[in-house]
Amino acid sequence: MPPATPSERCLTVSDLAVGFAARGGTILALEDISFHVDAGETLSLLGESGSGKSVSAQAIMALLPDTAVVSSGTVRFDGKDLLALPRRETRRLCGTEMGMVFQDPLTALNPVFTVGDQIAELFRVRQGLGRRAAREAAADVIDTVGIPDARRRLGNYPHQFSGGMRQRLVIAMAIALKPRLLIADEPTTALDVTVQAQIMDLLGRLQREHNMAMLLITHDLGVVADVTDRVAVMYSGRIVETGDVRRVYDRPGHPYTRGLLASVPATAGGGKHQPLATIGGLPPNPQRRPQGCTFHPRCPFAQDICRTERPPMVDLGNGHGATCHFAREMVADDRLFA
Amino acid sequence: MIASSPDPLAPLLALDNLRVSFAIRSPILRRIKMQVDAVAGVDLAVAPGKTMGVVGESGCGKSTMARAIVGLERPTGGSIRFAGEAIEDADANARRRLARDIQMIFQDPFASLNPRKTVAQIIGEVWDVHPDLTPEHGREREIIRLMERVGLSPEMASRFPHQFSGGQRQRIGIARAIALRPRLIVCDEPVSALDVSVQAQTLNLLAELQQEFGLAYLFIAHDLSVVRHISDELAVMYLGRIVETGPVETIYQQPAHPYSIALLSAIPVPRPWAEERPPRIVLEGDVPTPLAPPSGCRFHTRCFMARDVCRSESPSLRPVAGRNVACHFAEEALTRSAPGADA
Repeated sequence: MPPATPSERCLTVSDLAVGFAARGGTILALEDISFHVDAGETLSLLGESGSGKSVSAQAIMALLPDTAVVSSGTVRFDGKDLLALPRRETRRLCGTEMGMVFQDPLTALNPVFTVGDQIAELFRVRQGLGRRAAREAAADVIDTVGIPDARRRLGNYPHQFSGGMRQRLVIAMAIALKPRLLIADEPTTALDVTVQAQIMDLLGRLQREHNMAMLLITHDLGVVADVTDRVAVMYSGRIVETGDVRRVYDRPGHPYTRGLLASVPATAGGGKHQPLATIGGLPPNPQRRPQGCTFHPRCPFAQDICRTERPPMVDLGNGHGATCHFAREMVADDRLFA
Repeated sequence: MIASSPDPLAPLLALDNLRVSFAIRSPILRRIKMQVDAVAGVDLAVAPGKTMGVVGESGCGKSTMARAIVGLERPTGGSIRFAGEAIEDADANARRRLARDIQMIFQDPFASLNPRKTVAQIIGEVWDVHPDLTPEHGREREIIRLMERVGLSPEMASRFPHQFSGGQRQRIGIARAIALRPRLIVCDEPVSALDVSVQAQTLNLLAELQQEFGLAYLFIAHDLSVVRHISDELAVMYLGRIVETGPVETIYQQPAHPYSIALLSAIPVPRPWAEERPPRIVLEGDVPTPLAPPSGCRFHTRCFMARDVCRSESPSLRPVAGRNVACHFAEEALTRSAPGADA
């Protein structure tokens, strides 16, 4: 297969809405979700717990639980609408054309099989390789992700590896069949800082080598800046801001993004005993989202219009957009990092 | 023993060569197979009203050290002195007195609160154990005061932990910890389970309470920017030992231990382009198992500066440039971490 050109669109999600059946109706977990990822590019979905970032990934990979209903939208991958495909077909694409890395490497690996058997199985089932060839391929891919002494370690079980090494194994399985899209859901959250740096380096290297598109799901603003080209900030089931990381972080157009950046000690500046900026209150209960802008009860800039009218995605130029009535004023205000 | 703190005040808490070991027994005969030194000789001093931050990766012994200080693990060597009094010599009465002065906040606000008790019962329990400390105006009023102080509505006193969010639960844990007016709170990863915006609220609350009650904190965390924000002094731990300790800004601005250098360079910051960052040093491999710690300097297997002497001789903490470092080549490390230096 010839290498894809960098601008090739890999994944396009449009107007995706996902609800969960509950007593007294459906709870909307996702609404109006639109984004795209190009080959060789990384997009981060950034959000706090309950913002809908993991549900987005599950919807793409056809991993949603049975209680979930996709009420609208399309997910185009490689020209196909994944939501219209039979589930079996989507599942086949997962693992071959799309790889997934989960947060907890221990639950993603089967404890009763050796890692060699688990990885070799991929090659036998998906590529029809024979026993010996599959084992060779497994050793190669383990070697690629930087596990020393790969051939000998094929016979080990997952518990015989450290946390960082297990995550390398999960990554090995995800990239074994050279997928065009890698979805990584909090891939380093369970790891120590020095190991996190190794894993992010590894993901970056693999992405460059295979010109993979990567969708990174994380709550960590720092990790986003480290590896990402573009970011989509999620709040209460919607994308509230999107754009190049640098643009978004330097000149956030949404008060929520602004609040997040200001509440991280690393960016907050100021010294010890200087209180951190906080976002008052809590995210809304998805069963009772407020009228108008969902962020207005917590927003220090909220006006009357915010309580009644839902803000559109305001175009701030160069692919930067924010769903705030006052996005242009936010961007023009440079007091944030003064 | 330690000279890291220039503070003229005598330390409130002083660890001297603290050791905590666990015996690994064979599953059949229960014979001791080997000994793991989770904390392998730690010297540390916390000044009254100040915050000592402790950072290190999994398995470095920071949580075991915390548990030993509050009496949840028995030290196997060295001493823990609180306000001049050796904890290991304390009889049952003295132990109870210490329990008033030293409280703990745990990482997991889900596991550290009894799911079958209401908030009022959880907080009020402290006076079941220490009835003589029951405030004059009565438990109920004190519970209301405490709840208000940590930002919880007193109307929620009869609710159960599962009815609260993670951040609110952590506030319940904090209310319980301050109920006896302790002098030291050991905080073991108190904000790592919380979302960023809630984390900031909790850190602000801890800072306010410190001012108000003159609390000292031993603040354990793996998030280095959180530790920098809240701490006065810092201790960096690796495999059961302190490798560098001193004033927090001194170390953050120019670390002198290769492990500190790597650790600090590995923190992902939100706006790396907006500040001068040292070049990232990605360490190879994982932290070795404490079952078989490396010879000599325990960090030498991953150290980018290691030489022969590091494999054979264990460096002890010594003063270098305003802090204490356990590295044979601390001076050289210091030049590498100097601002603008190309490591």
